[in-house]
Amino acid sequence: MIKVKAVVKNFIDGDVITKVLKGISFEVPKGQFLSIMGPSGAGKSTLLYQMSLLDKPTSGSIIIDETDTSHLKEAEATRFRLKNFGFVFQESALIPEFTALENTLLPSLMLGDNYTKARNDAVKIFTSFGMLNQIDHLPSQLSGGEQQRVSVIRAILKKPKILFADEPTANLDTARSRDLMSALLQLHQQGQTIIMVSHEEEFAKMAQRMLYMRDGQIEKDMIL
Amino acid sequence: MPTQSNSLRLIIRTAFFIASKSIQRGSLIVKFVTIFILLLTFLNLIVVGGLLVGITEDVGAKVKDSLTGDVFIEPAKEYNYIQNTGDIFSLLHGFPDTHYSPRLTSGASIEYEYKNVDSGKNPPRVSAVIAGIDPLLEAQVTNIDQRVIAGSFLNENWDSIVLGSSLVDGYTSSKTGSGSTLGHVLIGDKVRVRFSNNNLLEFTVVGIINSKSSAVDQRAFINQKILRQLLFSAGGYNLFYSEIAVVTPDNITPASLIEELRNIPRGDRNDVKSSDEAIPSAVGDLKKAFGLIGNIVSATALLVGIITVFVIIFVNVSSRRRYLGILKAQGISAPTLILSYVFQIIFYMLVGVILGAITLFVFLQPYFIRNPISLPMAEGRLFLTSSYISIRVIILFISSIISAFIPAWLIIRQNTLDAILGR
Repeated sequence: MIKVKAVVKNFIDGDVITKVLKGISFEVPKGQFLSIMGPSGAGKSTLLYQMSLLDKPTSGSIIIDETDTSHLKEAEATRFRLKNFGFVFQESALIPEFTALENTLLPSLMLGDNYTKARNDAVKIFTSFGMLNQIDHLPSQLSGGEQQRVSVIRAILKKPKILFADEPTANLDTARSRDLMSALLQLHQQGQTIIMVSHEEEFAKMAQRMLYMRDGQIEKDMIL
Repeated sequence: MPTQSNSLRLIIRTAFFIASKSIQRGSLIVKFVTIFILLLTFLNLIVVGGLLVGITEDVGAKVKDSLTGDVFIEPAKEYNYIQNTGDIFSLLHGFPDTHYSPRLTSGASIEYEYKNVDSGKNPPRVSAVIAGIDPLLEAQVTNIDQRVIAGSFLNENWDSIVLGSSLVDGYTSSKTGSGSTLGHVLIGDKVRVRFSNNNLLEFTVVGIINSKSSAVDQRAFINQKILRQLLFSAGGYNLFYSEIAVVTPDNITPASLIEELRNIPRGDRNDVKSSDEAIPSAVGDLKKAFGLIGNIVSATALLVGIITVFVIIFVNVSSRRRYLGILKAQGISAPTLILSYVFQIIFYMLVGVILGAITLFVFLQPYFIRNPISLPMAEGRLFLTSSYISIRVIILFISSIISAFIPAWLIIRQNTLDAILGR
């Protein structure tokens, strides 16, 4: 369960204060696939960064499973993300000298899994994603869609409580975007909580629930 | 919650994993340049300083081998001659395989071509220390009999004289018409020596020696019996000596012998020194100056090396800021990522040191043994001891870690979101 309570985010540049999030509140129950949509500058990515502890709100609080994350220090927030979150970003940003498999293993190793266990878990997921043959490929040997699927595998390998996806289809063509969305839907059917930001209505509407944002506020909260 | 030691273990393990893959598949050019710079830094640290230390060590060795031996005895300042030489000789006789050469010295002026000079003009003349030696005893203690560059070493003839190369011209490259020498003296030529008591005697030059120790090369050597007769015409001064050089076998330490020599009756009236203590002050100053120059050159080389490594790591980390930001977002901690860079630089440093050691011991050291740098006062060879090398490897190790840690820390500590968004 995620509780977003009166979250305000202001950006200050000299004397200019830009109010990006204007007191947003909502809750996300466990297992929900939530998409956040809206025009450019609506504050949807900023909201995702506050919820995923990549940024700190100016005021308000984010409570995740009874933990008020607003008091976490940098190192504690990093540890919290490691244990609870997975991320898929607009660009896959896989480390170029690591194979597809190795790119996915780091969070699991950091959590304490031994290499063999982490590798076996990863192979299972690569198989379910139809990417077993690409397991030893370097990122440069993968297509954009394949790279993004590897970044999904990296995000879910450690079985995070919440998967955050920030415009995951932005750099993919329609066919590959649909492939990626079907992968996310499959994860959701397995009980994965997903919070996705997208500016593409077709994909945002594939979620279970959609928040439509405008000017730093939630304009619509729709169950789909 | 993981324990602190468990967290540390996970950090080290993950950092090692990242580092090993980066080393395995990272840019060949970056790897090559980094290793090459560390190799050059290692060689700079070792070779330049090693050569300078080698020169100063050789200067000291030359003084020891040609003048002082392991232990050097002189009279204390207030005495003209060594006191209680009888007890000294008795004591030295008691040490097996210990050799000594007692010398009698006197200030004198040496003249050359005095028969050919026009009346009213002065012949070439130099002031020098005349050392009266026993050639056989001297050969057991010093190597000056092997340093003859013209003619032969001192023989039994009463009028033989051997001149140090600094007193003459033409025998070494550094002595050409300096004006403070006798000129180009040939073997068999006559020189005239005026002693401090105004006794004047003509000698035949039988040899020229070049020991590369200025204290020796500014001397002239004659038979001790002749000098004793010239200085002490009244006789009865057979135990008067100006200096005694002693060499000890390996099983007798100079320090223990010095202690015993100081403890003989009236031993405090003599100045008993080790070879290091007996080095002339100018040579000591030279050693200090070369040591300082060596340290400055090494420090500069180290600074240039670590700044270059710093820049390489800084550029490398900066270009990966986005990847590192995403890893931090996934929960890979900053210390893990910084440590991965430290592990990489340790690996590159070890490779650089190993390649440097191969270059050093397979190529450079044999080269300098075959072709030492020839200087007027010494021959420059690489001075390499395990402690000398170990200290420099440790310095390079620590410096390399710092040069990797700082740029990695500067970039990785930045805000995670800024790194991901490229702000």
